[in-house]
Amino acid sequence: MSAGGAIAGEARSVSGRRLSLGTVWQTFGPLLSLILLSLVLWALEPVFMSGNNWLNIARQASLVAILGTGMTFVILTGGVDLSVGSIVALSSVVGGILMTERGWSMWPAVLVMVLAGAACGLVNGLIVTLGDIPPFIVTLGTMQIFRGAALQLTDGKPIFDLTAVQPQFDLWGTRELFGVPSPVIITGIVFLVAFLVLRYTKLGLYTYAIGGNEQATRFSGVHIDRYKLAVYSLMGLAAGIAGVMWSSRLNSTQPTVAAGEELNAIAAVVIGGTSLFGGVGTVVGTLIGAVLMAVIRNGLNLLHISAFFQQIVIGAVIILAVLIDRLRQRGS
Amino acid sequence: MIHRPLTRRRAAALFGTASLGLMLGAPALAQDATPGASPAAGGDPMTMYGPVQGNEAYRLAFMQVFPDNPFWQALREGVEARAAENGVTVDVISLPTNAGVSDQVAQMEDAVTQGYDGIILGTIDAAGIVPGIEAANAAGIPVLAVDTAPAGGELVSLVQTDNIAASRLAGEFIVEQLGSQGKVLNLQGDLANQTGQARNDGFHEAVDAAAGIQVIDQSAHWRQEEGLSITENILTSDPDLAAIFAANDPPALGALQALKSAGRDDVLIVGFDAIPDAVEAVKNGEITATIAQFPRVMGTVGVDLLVRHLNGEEVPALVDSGAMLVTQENAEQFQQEQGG
Amino acid sequence: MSSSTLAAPSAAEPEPAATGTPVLELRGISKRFPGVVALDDVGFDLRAGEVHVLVGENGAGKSTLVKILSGIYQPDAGEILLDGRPVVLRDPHAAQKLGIATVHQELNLVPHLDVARNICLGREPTRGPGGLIDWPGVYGIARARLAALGLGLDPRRTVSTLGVALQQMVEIAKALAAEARVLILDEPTAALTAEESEQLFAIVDTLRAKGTAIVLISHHLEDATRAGDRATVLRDGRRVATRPMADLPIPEMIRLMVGRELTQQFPKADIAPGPVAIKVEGLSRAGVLDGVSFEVRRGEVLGLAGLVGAGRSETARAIFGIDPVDAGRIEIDGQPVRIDHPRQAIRQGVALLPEDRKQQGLVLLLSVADNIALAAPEKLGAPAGLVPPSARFAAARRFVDALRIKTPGPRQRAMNLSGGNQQKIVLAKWLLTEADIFIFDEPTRGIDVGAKVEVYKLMNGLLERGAAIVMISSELPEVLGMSDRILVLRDGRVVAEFDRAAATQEAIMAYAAGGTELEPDTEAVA
Repeated sequence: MSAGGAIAGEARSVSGRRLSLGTVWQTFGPLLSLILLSLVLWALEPVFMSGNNWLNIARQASLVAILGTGMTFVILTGGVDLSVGSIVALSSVVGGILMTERGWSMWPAVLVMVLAGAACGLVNGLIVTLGDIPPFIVTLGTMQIFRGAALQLTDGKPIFDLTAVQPQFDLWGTRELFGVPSPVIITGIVFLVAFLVLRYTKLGLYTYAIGGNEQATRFSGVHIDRYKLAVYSLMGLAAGIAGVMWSSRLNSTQPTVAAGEELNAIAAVVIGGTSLFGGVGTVVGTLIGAVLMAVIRNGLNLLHISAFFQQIVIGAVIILAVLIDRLRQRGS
Repeated sequence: MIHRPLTRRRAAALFGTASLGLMLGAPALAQDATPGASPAAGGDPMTMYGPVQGNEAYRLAFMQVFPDNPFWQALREGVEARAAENGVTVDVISLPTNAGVSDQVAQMEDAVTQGYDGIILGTIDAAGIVPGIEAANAAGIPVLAVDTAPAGGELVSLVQTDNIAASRLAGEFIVEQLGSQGKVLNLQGDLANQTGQARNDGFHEAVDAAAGIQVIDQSAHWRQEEGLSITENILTSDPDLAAIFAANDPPALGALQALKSAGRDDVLIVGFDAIPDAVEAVKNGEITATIAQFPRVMGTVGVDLLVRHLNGEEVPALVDSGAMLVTQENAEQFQQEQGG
Repeated sequence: MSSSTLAAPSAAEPEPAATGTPVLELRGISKRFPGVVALDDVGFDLRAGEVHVLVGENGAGKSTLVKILSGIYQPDAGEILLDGRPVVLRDPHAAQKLGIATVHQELNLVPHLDVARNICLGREPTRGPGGLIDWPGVYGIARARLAALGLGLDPRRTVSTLGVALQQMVEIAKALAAEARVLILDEPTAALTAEESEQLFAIVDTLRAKGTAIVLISHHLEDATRAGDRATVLRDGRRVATRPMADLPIPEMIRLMVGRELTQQFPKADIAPGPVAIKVEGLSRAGVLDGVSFEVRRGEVLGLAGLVGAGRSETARAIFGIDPVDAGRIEIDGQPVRIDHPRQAIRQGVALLPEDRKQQGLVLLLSVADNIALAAPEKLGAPAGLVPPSARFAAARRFVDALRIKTPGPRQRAMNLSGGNQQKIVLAKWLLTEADIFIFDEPTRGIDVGAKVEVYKLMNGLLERGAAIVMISSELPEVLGMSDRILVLRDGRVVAEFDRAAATQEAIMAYAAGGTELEPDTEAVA
C-alpha cells in the first residue's frame, strides 16, 4: 500500500469517529447538491420553499424513494433489478382486477398486491441464484415478462376510478395523516425499516459483504444464495408496496404505469453515493437522491421550463451530484 | 385470465365494440357538433367506401402500435370488423409496448417476406418507419397509413384525424369559455412524436390568437402520473390557473385528481381522445370537455380503401376521419353511441 | 565519484567505491505526503549489467522510490541523472521514452488477447497511409522479444491460458521495448512458486549479461541473495545501507531492515501433542486430489509443502466445504462429520485462513469490525439475527487489543491496513467463531519480516490453548521452522512425510518437484 493510501485511510477514519457525523459525511455530496439546487430554485421562484410545495415534492418523490430503497439493497450486493417498474405495474394491475372484476374488498386485495410484488422479486432471486445468471440479464428478461403479464391480464387497458368500487382505496395514495400525505408516510416506514435492517441485522451485514467480496463472504460460511434471495424478494416487496401506493394515488391501474422508473430508482441510488459495483452505500443517500430528482422536476415545472430542456437538466444534475461526491472523496 | 367474462365496466372500457349501426351515427354527430373538423370528403366515410362486395380474399396485415391503448384497440376492432365484412383476412401484428421503431421496421420487413397483399400501417415514429415502407414499396406491396402520416415512402392513402384542426377546436373552446382571459396549462404529449406536435400546434393556433390567454407548456408524455404531478406543481406556482388542456385523456384525469386534492373545482379541463372514463367524467361535470376522434372509422375506412386499391380502383390520397368536442350536453349521447 | 555527492543521512553507511559508470542515479530524493515523509534524502545508483535490489519493510519507501523512477510521482527535492545528465520524469510515458521500463506488481495484461498483441499493445507497428496495423509485424516483434528473453513461447497463445509466471515474463517482454536500458521489477516473485521464481531469475541473468541495468524489489530476501549484485536497504524512508550482496547475509539484511535484532525468525513453541483433533482419510477429487490422508493433534502444526497445484490449497478447500469431493472421510475429535458448506466447517470448529487474503479472506471494503463479525455474528451476544454496530465494535476492540492489530479504529476499512494486520483480522474473525482447528494457507505471504514473527507467535498462542494447525506454505524455511511434522504433496497425493528433525529443504524439494520417486521404504516416510 502506498503512503498516500495510508493517509487517505486515516483521514477517513477520523471523519468516521462519530457515527452520525460519519453518515452525514458519507451523503455529503448529494446533500450539498440538494441544498444548492433548492437555494437556486428558491431564488428563482419563492413559492418553491412553501410548505405545500415541499409536500408536493415529497409525494412525487415517494415512488422513486421506495423503489430506490429496495434497489439500494440489490445494488449493494453487486446486482441490479431492471424489472421493478414492471413489478409495480403487475402489482397494480392485479389489485385493479381483483377489486373491480372479482369484487374483492380492499384489504385482501392490497395484501395480494404486495405479495405479488414479493413473488416477482422471489422469481428474480431464484433465477439469479439457481441459474447463476447475471442479475442484469435476468431482470432485463423479467422486466419484459412482468410488463407483458400486466398487459396480458388487462388486455392492455387501464382501469380507472378504483374508489368507485372500493371507496377506502384512497387510503394509500391521497389521504393525509396530521397533514402528511399517505405516500410520504408509507415511504417513511419503508425507509426506516430498510435503514434498521441494513444497520442492525445479519441480512444488512451480509448485503454489504456479498457486494464487497462474494468469495470472501462465502469463505466466511455465509449462505450467499439465501441472502440474495432475500434481497431480491425485499426489492419485489418494496415494488409491490409501491404498486399499492401508486394505484391509489392515480386512482387507477395501468399496465404501462411506472415504465422507466427502474432507471430513476437506479439514478437515485447512484446519486446517493452507492457504488454500482456493490459493497458501499446507504439508504439515507438514496432517499436524498430520490428527493433531489423530485426537486429537479418540481422546480422545472414551477419555472415552466420545456420538456426537452428538463431532460437535459436532469441528466446534468445526476452527473454533477455524483461528480461532487467524487471530488469530495478525492479531497479527503 | 385472457378469456375471463366481461363485466359491465370492462365492456364499457372496450371502446367501440358497438354494432356498425350504432357507430354510423358518430361521424354524423361529429358533423353536427363540430363543423370545423368534419370529414374532408363531405360524405360519411363509414359508408362512402364500403363495405366492398365481391372482391378477392386478400390477405392483409395490420401493423398495430400501443396495443394497450384504447384508441388503438378501437382502431383495430374497426379493421377486424370491416375485414370480415369485406371478406378479406387480416393479421394483426402488434408492436410490443417497450419496442422501438427499429423493431417495427423489422416487423414490416417480415410482413413483406410473408407476402401480404397489402399493409395497413399504424406507426410510432413517422420518420423512423420510412425504411419499412420503402421495403414494402420495393416488393410492390401497397401500404395504407392510419392515424399517423409517415415522413416518406409511397402510400396508397392516409386516413387520419386532422390533429391540428381537432386541437384547434379544443383551444377555441377554452378561449371562448374563459372569455379570452386567463392562464392555461398545456399538458403536451410527447413532442418527439408527430401527433404530439400537431396537437400542440393546433392548440397554440387557437390560444395564441387570444391576447389575454397566457399558456404554460409542460409535457406529460401522454402519462397520467405526469399529468398529476405537473398539475400539483403548477397549482403551487400559478394558483390563478384557469384552464388545463391535455393532449390525451389520462393526463387530464391526473390533472383532475390534483385539482380535487387541492380542493379546486374552478379550473376548466379539456382532454383529448374521449376514452370512456374521461367521457364519464365529462358527464359528471368533473372534466369540462374532451375531443373525440373516430379510430374505428379510421380502421374501417382503411380496410375499404386498401381493398378498393387492390381491386384496381382509384382511392383518395387523404381522408379525415373526423373529430368532435364531447361536453356535458352531448356526453351521454356519445356514450350510448359508443358503448351501447 | 558518486559516493561523495550522495549526501547520506548519518544513519546510512558510506557507500563503497563504485565500479563502472552509473546509468541512472538519484541524488537527495525526498517525497512527502500529507503527514508522512515517504522518502527523506535518498540516494541510489544503478550501473549497466547489474541487478540492484531494493529491500525494506512495508512503508520503508520502496514503492515510492519505484514510482519516482517510473515517472508516476515527482520528487519534492533531489535530482535524477540519466547517463550523468539531469532528467525530469514528468510522467510514465516520459520515463519509457528515456528507456526506463517498469513491470509493476499488478500485471497489466489483457487476458483475452494473445501474447503478441499484449506485447505490442498501444505500440503496434502500422503500414500504409491509413495507419492499418501491420499484424505480421506485431508477431515478428513479439517473436524477437520472446527470443531475446530465451522464451520459446508461442506468440499466438491467449494470455489467460498462461500461468502467472509466464504472464510475468510476457509483461517483461512487453516492458522491454527495444531501447529499454533500465528495467524495474516490482515484486516479480510475489505470486510465484520457488520453481517459477527460478525461471524468472534465469531471464534476469540473461538480461544482465546483455548489459541491462535492473532494479529488483522483493519481499523475499532469498530473491535478493539469489539474483542481486548489490542491495540498498531502506527503513522509514531513509537509505540505511548500500552494499555488495556478498557483504550482506540475510540476518544482517533483516537487522538493517527492522532496525533491531530479530532474536528468532521462527519462534516455534514446543508443546506436547494432545489427542487427535482432525483426521482426514482418502480425500479424493478427480484430477485434483488422490487419496489425501493425515491427522493433526491438538498442540501440533502439520506443515503441507509442495508446488503450486500439488493439491495443498485444494485439500484445505475440500476440508472446509468449499470444493466438493468424490470420496473421503473427515473425523473431528473422533466423530465422523459431513462438511459441504463452510458454514458446517465453522460449526465443527474449523477455520480457514485462505492463501489469497484480499480475495478470499477479507471483504476489503468493509470495516475491521464488520470483517471480524462476518463468520459468527451470532457470537456477538445480540438477539438472533441482529448485529448491532455497538456489539460489532466491542468485539472488534477486544481483538484489536488481544492481537495487537494496528488500526486507527474498528471502523477503518480493511483495505487500508497492512498485510500483517489484515491477516490478524482474518484470524480474529475465526477466533470469534471459537474455532480450534486452523488451516493457515500461506499465512505470511506478502507480510513484513517483523509482522511474520507476530503471526508465528499468534500461532503459538493458539497451540497453547489446545488448537490444531494445518499450515500450507511455499516458503520452505517457514515450513521447516514452524511445523512439527511435514507432508509433501505432489499431483494431489501425499508423497512424503517428515518429522521436524528429519526434514531438510533439499529433501522436501526433491519430493515436491518429483525428482525423487516415492519409495515405500524411504526413511523419510514415517
